[in-house]
Amino acid sequence: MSNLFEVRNLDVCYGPVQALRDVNVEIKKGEIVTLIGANGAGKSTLLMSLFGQPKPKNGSIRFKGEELTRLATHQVGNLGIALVPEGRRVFSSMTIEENLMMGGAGCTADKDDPVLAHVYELFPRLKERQHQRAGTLSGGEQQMLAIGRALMSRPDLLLLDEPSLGLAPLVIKKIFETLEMIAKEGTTIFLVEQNANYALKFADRGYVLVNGNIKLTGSGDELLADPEVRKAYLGGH
Amino acid sequence: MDFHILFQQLVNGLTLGSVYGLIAVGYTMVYGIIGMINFAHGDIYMISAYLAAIFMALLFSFGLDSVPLVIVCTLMITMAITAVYGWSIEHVAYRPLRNSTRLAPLISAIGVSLILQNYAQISQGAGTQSVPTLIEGALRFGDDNAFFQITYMQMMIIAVSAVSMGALTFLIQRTAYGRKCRATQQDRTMASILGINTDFTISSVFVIGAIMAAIAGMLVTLTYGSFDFYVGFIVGIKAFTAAVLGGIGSLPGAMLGGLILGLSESLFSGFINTDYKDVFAFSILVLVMIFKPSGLLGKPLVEKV
Repeated sequence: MSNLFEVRNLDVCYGPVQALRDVNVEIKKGEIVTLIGANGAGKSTLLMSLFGQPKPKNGSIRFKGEELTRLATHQVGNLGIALVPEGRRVFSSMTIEENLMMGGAGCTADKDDPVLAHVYELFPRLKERQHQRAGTLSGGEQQMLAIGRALMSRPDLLLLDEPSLGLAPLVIKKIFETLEMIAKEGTTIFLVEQNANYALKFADRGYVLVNGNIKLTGSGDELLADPEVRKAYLGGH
Repeated sequence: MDFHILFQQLVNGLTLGSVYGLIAVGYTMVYGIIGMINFAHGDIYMISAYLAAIFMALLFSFGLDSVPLVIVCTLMITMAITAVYGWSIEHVAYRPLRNSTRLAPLISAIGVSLILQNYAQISQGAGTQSVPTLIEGALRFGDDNAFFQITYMQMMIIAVSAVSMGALTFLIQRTAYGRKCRATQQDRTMASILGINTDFTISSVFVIGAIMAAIAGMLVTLTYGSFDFYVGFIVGIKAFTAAVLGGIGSLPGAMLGGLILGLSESLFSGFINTDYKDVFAFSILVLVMIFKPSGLLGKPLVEKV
């Protein structure tokens, strides 16, 4: 089976600083893949470079056979890739419902959209507060909103950038439970996480990113058992 | 106290304030979406005054003799051509500077302002232009000794402004286009990741600002009948003041700021002194800036981390 998503020999630079070096990632349809790594390893850079923020220096990124490095940011956004960005980036002065409608294809979803009802089903909290401004939500609720917004376009590939960041353990657990449900519906997921424990248990396969370079790859369980991974990311010995 | 003077000045102030509000919308929306003060906006207003005068004369010379029809046609043409000005200026003078320092587009805007003024001066002459009054008459209230009046032209200004503002508010608050604008305003990168063509959204905001300025330019030209290539400057400064007064970046703020400025100017001229009305208007600005730096309806952004 051909890959849904494929990164080949990717180099990304911020001015003179090279953030990613010769990165290769591939994801098949229906897979759950995670990328773990320490702060500053280049995890977010990889996700943002799909959208040309910043534009990669070398290499190729292909999604459904389309070369993304040649496209403008908003064109990538309309291909069926949705991002739950680091720091959530919900539109704080817009209501929950407006935020969700922004996520729909072409940003033109309306109130009767069946996907909207489905997102409210996944996150009943959002439905309760649909007319509240997003800025009034707690961190966990904002994370749910960011995930819900990304789901609105029925993406073929859902990208998540550290959904557990800054959240209480109970909230993290709840978010991962929801992600399981989303994965069961057949959405392909690429999860970038610092919380290696949660991420590797959740994913089919994983990549370990160190200083902008993929150091290790394997199934979730293999990586969980790997002594180096345990030492570096799981606090084990 | 002379109540007829008070009422008269309220009517005048409301008219003036509506005009300021229409123009202030252009400043506030552009500032909201790309954080820049479009100093050429006042000159867009000036250009629309010329366009309105030219097309009114043309339509009459083509034998169109129904006044309402001429006014409506002229308004449409003026809005369309002014929109093209707004769109082109954004493309030529501001877009290439989108990712440079904040000061660069500001300087570019001053350049555009000078170009437009000189272009109007060279192509249309430096003298004051005038157009005939098309709509005369007024509603009078009170007896012959103490009356106040609303001219039909004033009524038209207030009505057209109210309708335009209402339509714009609906557009921004209730439609998918408006959500795209607000999203672009808050987080341009995130908006484009969601698939919004933010460059197009930004251009469209310039177009909307220009259209509102064109409505103001046309109405004022019809009311006062005279203008020159320099009218954009002082009107622009006043409208900018209105936008800042109401809270720059806020749409209702621009409308409120316009009304406050217009009313305070006309009340001050009616009861105290005409020569110092501008001093009074700008003093209000200074006071608001001291006690509420974000403007009357502007909100300091609070981000939850």
